[in-house]
Amino acid sequence: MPDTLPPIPSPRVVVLGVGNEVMRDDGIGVRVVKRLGEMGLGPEIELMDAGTAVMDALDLVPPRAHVLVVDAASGDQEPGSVYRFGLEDLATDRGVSLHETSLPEAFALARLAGTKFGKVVVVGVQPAAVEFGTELSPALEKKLPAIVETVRSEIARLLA
Amino acid sequence: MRTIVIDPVSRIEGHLRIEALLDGHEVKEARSAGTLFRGFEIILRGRSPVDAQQLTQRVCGVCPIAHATAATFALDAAFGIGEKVPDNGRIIRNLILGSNMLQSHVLHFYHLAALDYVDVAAAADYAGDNDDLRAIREFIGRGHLAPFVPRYEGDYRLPKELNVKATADYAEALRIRRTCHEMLAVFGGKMPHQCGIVPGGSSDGPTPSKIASFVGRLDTVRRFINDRYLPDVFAVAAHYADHFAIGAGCKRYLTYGNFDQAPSSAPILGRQRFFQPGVYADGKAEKLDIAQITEAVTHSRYEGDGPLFPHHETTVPAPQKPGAYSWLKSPRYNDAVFEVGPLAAILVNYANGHPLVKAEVDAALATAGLPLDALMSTMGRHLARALHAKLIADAMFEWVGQLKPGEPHCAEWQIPAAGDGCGMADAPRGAVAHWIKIRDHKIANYQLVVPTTWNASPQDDKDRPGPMEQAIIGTKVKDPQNPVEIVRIVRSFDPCLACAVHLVTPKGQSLGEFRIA
Repeated sequence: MPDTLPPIPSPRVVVLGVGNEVMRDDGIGVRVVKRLGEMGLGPEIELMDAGTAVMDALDLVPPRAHVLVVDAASGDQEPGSVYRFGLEDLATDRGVSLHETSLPEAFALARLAGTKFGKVVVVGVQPAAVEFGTELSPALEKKLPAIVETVRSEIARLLA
Repeated sequence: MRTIVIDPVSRIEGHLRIEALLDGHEVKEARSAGTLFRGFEIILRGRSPVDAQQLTQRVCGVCPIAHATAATFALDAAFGIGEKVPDNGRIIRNLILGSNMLQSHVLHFYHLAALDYVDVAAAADYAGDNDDLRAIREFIGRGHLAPFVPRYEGDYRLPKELNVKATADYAEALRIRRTCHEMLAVFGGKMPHQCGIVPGGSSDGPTPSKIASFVGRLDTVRRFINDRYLPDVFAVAAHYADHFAIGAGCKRYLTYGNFDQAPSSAPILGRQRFFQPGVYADGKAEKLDIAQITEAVTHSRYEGDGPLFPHHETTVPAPQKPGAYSWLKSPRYNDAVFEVGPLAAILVNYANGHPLVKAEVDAALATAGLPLDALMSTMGRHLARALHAKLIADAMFEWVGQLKPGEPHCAEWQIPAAGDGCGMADAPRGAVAHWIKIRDHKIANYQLVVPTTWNASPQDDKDRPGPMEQAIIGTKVKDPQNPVEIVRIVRSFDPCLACAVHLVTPKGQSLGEFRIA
């Protein structure tokens, strides 16, 4: 078998599921991407499980694709609330560890390394429980279908 | 007396909090606290043993490959197949781990540590034709300084031309880490969460075109390490020579070694590795006896006191325990405090007379005009990390040449009804160990001791501070409002904490404005 594959058409939207699926609701982004994967979306949409390694995943985004990030968002609304942000709306605090690379920083570094992105939209989901565990909280599990539908309509907006 | 607290409050969990108590300008006491409950083993219990290799990669967003490696060694041992791993599989595992190690070291120096020493603002009036520097000038011009500005202001001492050169290298380093990921993907599938390192060997074998693809990229990375990374570390070291005299800490070092040169089921003794395992203190290296590893929980928020051997431990949280201030436990070796990381690998192998390590270290010390003991410091950790990268990149050329296309890459195995295994390796930031207990074909118990648990551990059962705490105590802080000295010491350890989480945090505005559903 040859070890190169025939080229596949480049996606126009990359949906990046961000978060840690062994930290319950922190993994909501990954769960949403997995659910979308079961729905059989078209070749113009690529789904990525980025885990907590956003910088690494951005290396795999093809040139000029729009990026829809789905991540947990810490805030003051009830669990399962869905927010839409631009990168400019997000905090960029730096810490002492490589774990603490913020989302805007990861995109800035990728741009500096030469990656050209289309539009970047962040969909944030308010978590109820961020602790060890592979199951979502009951609140998020219940709202998962609605969250997935919201993400699908954001994908449609980017493709329009 | 006043207290400095370094605490990235934007994160809910998973971060490191450093508290330093100052008397005048000198740190008298230090407390390092991991804010995360260690309960990962609870998730693994009752699952298929092979899930450990995939799930433990999720423990850490910055060293998933080392977790996959340690988990796989533990599974090899528990399945009784450690001796049967074919050379191709053993080498491919080394190449995947090595690729990740190189990207981590490069990323740590440029992306995190260098900004404490290199003034990126020197590129603000750049007038030359280097595309990267022009791009950085544009970023600065638009006020987009955030990625390049440390939270704590450095005292910048490099001459302007060196600041500009190191800034250009910073941009190139971002592409080099991408090249490292491509190397990893040749044999590992993708980064993060690779699928190449599996029990019995590797999931795929070598082909001539894979080897060529790997070697071409490795050559690019090696040239960057030799021509940019090491010279930049030497330049920073020359202008911050006083940083070879601060941040030493416990001066005892422990490494599990890395890069198997022969198949084995043994955790440590009997395993032949490119970097040999061992401990180092007072100028001498000794063999590592894993029976001497214990964890105390005296100042940790868990029931009990310890110290106990990790494989025999339980993890029962006790948030209100008096005297406890961290969710990290306190690993100790032979009843003493030990530091882990690339510096430990360098010192142990130097003292053991590893010819390649000795040659590189002696040459580096001669260039910098320093004695060996100067490596036990803030700047020494950076220099040791860079030398570690060079040694690995050079060795990977040898290993990739030993691959044999067409020959086996993975041994056959079956999940046994019962078995025990221990897997040990060095992550980019130091020693990581996994212990697995299999009963009824399922995981009955799993324990992990991760690198930063050693380095950022709290006081133990004898109230001895952990390595990072010891490194901070005694430090002179010029401006308590801007404690750059402490931040530099902490960063030199390249800390990571078990189980990253990732949440976005909006700035300023009410979240209600952003709500869409």
